[in-house]
Amino acid sequence: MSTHPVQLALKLVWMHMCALRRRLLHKLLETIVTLFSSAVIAALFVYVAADFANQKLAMAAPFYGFYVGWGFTCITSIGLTWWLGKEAGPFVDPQHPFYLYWQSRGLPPQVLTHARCLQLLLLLLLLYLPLQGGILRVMAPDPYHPLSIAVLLLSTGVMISWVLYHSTTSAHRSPQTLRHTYHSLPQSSPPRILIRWRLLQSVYNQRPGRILAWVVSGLLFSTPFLWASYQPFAVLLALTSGVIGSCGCLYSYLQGLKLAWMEKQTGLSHSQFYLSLLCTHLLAAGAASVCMLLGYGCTAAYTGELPELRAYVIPLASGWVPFLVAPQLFFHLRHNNFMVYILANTLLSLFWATAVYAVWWTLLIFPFVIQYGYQSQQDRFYTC
Amino acid sequence: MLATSPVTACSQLHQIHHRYPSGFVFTCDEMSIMPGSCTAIIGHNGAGKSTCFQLLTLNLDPQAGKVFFQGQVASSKDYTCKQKIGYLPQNTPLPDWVTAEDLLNYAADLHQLSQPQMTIRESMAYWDCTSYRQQPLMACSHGMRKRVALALATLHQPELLILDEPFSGLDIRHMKRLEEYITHRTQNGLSTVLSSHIFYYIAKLCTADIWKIDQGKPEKLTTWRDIPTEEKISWLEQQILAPTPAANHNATSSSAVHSP
Repeated sequence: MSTHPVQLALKLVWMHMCALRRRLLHKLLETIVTLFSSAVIAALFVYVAADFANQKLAMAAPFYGFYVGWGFTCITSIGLTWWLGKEAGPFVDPQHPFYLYWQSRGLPPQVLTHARCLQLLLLLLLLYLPLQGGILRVMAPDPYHPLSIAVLLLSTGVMISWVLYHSTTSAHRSPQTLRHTYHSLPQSSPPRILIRWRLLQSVYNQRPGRILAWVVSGLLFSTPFLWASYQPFAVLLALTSGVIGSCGCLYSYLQGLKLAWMEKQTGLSHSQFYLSLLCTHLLAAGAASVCMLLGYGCTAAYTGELPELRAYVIPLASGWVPFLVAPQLFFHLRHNNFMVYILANTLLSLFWATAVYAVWWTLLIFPFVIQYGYQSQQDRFYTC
Repeated sequence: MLATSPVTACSQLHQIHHRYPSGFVFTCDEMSIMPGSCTAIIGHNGAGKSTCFQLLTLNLDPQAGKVFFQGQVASSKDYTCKQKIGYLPQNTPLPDWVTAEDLLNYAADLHQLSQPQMTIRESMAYWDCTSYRQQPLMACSHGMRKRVALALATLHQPELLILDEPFSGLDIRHMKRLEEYITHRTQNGLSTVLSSHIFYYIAKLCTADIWKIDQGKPEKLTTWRDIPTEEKISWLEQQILAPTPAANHNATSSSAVHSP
C-alpha cells in the first residue's frame, strides 16, 4: 500500500523534532540556563524599551514618543527575524545531513520538499508568529493599529525569504570575488599595519560592517536635530550608535584572531596589538564625530541659528564612551562569545555615559580607564 | 652552565615543568633541535605535542625550566626570536572573507621583508596558490587553505619551522612539494620539527632525533641509522603501538577485576 507524500513528510518532520528534543535533553542543564538567561535579558530589554518609549518619552515629547515606540518595535522585530532566520535556515536546507540521508535511502524528492515546507510552516506558527505577536503586544504604542498588521505581514515575508536564503548552504552560493584591497606598506610600524589591515577588512570584506557603518552614520547625523526636542533621547541615540560602531570594530578584531597563529610569529607584542586596537576605535570614534558635526552644521543651516555647543559636546561624549570602553574588554572575555562582548560593552558604556550626562568631568577618568585596560590585559596577548 | 653538544642547538627545552589548570602536566628534562636537522615528534592525541610546540614557538612560558633559542634563554617576550620561527598549526584557522594575496601581503609587511612582492610571488607560485589568489578563502577547499597556511608559515624563511600535521589535506602533488621543501631546508642548514601520524614521511624526511611524547613527557626514541624506509616505518609503528605504562596499569587492574 502506497503512503501519501504528505504523510511521509509528516513522519520525517516528527522524526526531526524528536531528534531535536533528544539533542536538547542531552544538554538539559545547559539548555535551561541558556534559555532562562536569554529570556531574562530579552524581557529586560523589551520592558525597558517599552517603558522608555511608551511612557517616559511619550510624557516628555508626545510627538517623538509615538515614532520612537514604533522604532523600537521595528528594531526588535528586525532583530528577531535576523536571528531566528539565521538559526532556522539549516533546518530547511536540502543539504542538511538529515535530508541527505533520506535522499540516499531513496525517498522521493517530492517528500523531502514537503517536509522542508512543513518545517518552515511549523517554525512560523509555533515560534516566530507568537514571539512577533508578543513583541507587538508589549512594545508597540497601539497593538491594534493597522501598522501592527503591516509590521507583522512584512516581517513574516522577510522571515520566509531570510530562512530560504540561509537554507542554501554557503558552499553552494557563488563565491564573490574580492577586490585586492591590501597593498604592501614596506617598513611600516606593526601597529600601523594592523590598523590598516583591520580597517580594510571591516570596510571592504565584511558586509555587516559596511551596513553598520551606514546605520551608525545616519543615527549620529540625526542626533543634533533631536537635542532641541528631547535631550536624553539624543544622548541615548549617540550612545546606541557608539555601541553599534564599537562592537562592529570589536567583531572585526575577533574575526582577526583566527590569524593569531601567524601574527604571533611575526613578533607582535601585547603593547603593539593593544595600541592598534585602541587607535582603530579612536579612528572610528573620530569618524563618528565628523558625522555628528555634519548633523550639527545641517541643524544650524536648517534653523538659521547656531545651536548651543552642548548639543554637540554632550551627545559626542556619550557616543565616544563605547569606543573607549571596548578595547579595555578585548582580552578579558572569551573570543568566541561575541554576545557577551556586546552586553558588557553596553552595560559599562551606559553606566559611564549616564555619569557623563550628569557630570561632564567624569570624562576625565578616561586616562585611568586606558591605564587600567592596558595593565589588566598585559600578557594576555591572544590568550583571552 | 647548560651541557650542550659542541654545536649550539637551534632550540632547546631544559628541565621544563608546566602544569595546566586541568591538571595536565608537561615535563621535559632535555630536548634539543639541532641546526640543519629535521626532528620528528610523534605521540597519541592529547599526549602533549601541542604544548611542546607552544614552548618551542616561544608562545608559552614554562612554570619551571628554561627554553633556549640559538643558545640564549628565550621567553614569550623575545619578539626578535619569535620572528625566526615559523609555525603551522594542525587546523590552520584562516579568516573566511580574505584573499590569499591580501593575507600574504599582510604577513610580508608584519615580517618586514626586504623584497615583499617578489617573495610573495615566489611563495604563491611554489605552493600553487596563484590560480586562486583573489578568491575569498571561504570558497577554497581544505587543501587550498592549507597551502595558503604553508605559504604564510614559510614566507620569511624561518630558521626553525614547526609543522604540525602538514600533510593532512594536501593532494599527492603538493605532498611531494612539501617533501622537497623540507629536504631543501635541511640541506640549507635550517631546522624543521615535524609532527605527523603518517610515518612514511617521518621515516623519509627525518634526519635527526625521533621524539615520542606520552602523557606530557617527551622521550627520545632514536636517531636514524642508515636503514631502509620500510624498516623505519614498521619500527615507528611498533613504538607508537607499544602500550604505555598507564595503559599497562589499566589493563592490569581491569584483568584483576575480571579474573575469576
